[in-house]
Amino acid sequence: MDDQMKKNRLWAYVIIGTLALISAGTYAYNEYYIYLSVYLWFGLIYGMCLQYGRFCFASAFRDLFAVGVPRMVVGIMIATVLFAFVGAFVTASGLSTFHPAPTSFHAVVAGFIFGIGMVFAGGCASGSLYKTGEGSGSALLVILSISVSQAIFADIGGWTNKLVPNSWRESALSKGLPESIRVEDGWLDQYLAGYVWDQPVTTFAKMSGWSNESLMGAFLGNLVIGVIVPAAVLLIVVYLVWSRKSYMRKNLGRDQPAPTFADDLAGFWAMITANKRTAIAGLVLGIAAGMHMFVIQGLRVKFGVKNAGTLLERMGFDFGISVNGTVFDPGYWYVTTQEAQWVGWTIQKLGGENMDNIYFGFVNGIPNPAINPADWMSIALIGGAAVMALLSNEFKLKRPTLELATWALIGGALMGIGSRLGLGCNVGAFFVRVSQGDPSGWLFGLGMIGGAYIGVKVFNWWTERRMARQFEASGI
Amino acid sequence: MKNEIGVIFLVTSVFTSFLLGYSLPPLLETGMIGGRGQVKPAVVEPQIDEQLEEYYRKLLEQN
Repeated sequence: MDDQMKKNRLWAYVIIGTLALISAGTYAYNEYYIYLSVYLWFGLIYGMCLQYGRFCFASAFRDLFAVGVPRMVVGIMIATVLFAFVGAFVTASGLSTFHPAPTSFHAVVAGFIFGIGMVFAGGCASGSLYKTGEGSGSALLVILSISVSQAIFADIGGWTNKLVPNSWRESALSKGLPESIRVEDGWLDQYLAGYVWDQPVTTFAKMSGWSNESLMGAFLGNLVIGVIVPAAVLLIVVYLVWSRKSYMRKNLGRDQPAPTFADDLAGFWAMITANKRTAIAGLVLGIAAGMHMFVIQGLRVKFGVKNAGTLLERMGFDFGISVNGTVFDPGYWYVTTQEAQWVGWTIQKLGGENMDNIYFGFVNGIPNPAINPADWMSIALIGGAAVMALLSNEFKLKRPTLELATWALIGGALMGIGSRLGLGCNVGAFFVRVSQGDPSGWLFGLGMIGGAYIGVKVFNWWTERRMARQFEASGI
Repeated sequence: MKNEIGVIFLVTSVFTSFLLGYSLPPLLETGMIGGRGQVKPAVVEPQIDEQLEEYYRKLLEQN
């Protein structure tokens, strides 16, 4: 074993040891910290899975649209189905902490903006987290940009109020929100309370006439109708457009004039099984996310609370808790809101006012990052990715070039805006929602695919233009 | 490398198993597992305390 590998091993142990110490030490200090430790350990597992499976939507769509390689997209789709399978069990057991989101065209628009952003940035929300764990400075900039843009966008008012349709304003004002929220001042506030909250909230189970917790609803409605059928259709499209031709070229006999149905089945199966790493990561992610929901539900019952905000108050932390007494506590895997909260908390501490909007002040709060449950998950997620990268010798500190940094900041800002419009990112608004039978997840996904396509085209145009200029300058 | 991964998995498994074990009894006691929700758990709704109310009142006055 060379010196570098020894160092890597030591660092991996340092990370895991630190997390273990934090977990054990805080539990010894106050039992309620175990609630935060749940996020910490499952965050670590998510990070390890993401790094192992190269779970990045941006890379997946860039590979597909730029060079016609469907491997990663197929892996992510398979991972979604496997996650949905585990999700159906958790839902049927009545222990799910998932809440579906409002379903309407806004999810498509949000996904479109997010899709463009993730291609520009070179990493989606989850991809940027695990790449940060691999030592990528560019990915860290993406996270910073997502965080800052969300915090600013959540509170932006002033001239943007003039862009709000009257119907949204009237509907938002009629909701009877606390006066401290000042719903009349803030574009996102009026968008949320005046438009998004008025949209239907449903699942494929409910649309089919079953409850989510019934066996028919969880397995036939949410899993089969809501995930397996649409995923199969998408995979067939991917096979026909991107995979079939190259498979037949390699595998069709010279004397065979045309492919048979059996050839197509073999080709389809070869495509599905091509990316085992991502599929395995998806399965473990699914099991971990299911267990995460289960443990959180158990602790909520044990402590007699519905939200971590009550626990934080009991522990004596009341700064940054929302007007409803809540903090962001999804009970499952989520990425972007806790990133926004870091910045929201900092702005508040520096003298700004971030508690007069719906996003922070009414729903998620801006607790100190050191005791924010979802922050524990994200930090541990980066740690988990770092552990896997260190042990597989893939960790390397990489400083971004000026060009990469610019793309990271622009892409991150677009992802931040898309996340707030869609109430989540590629994980919270797509991966989790789709797998739990929420139709708004598919709408976000459709927009994200469209945005990724446009993003790849723009990025290619920019790269070709720059290369042409370089060739011109060098006289080639 | 396999040994190191094994140690990491072991530590992670120990902590997650502890968390699972910790959260299971309340779910069994309330019947959420095994009893199809016969007993409803006592849940404290998130509440706003006096200090927070005061904070928001001041915030409103400032605005």
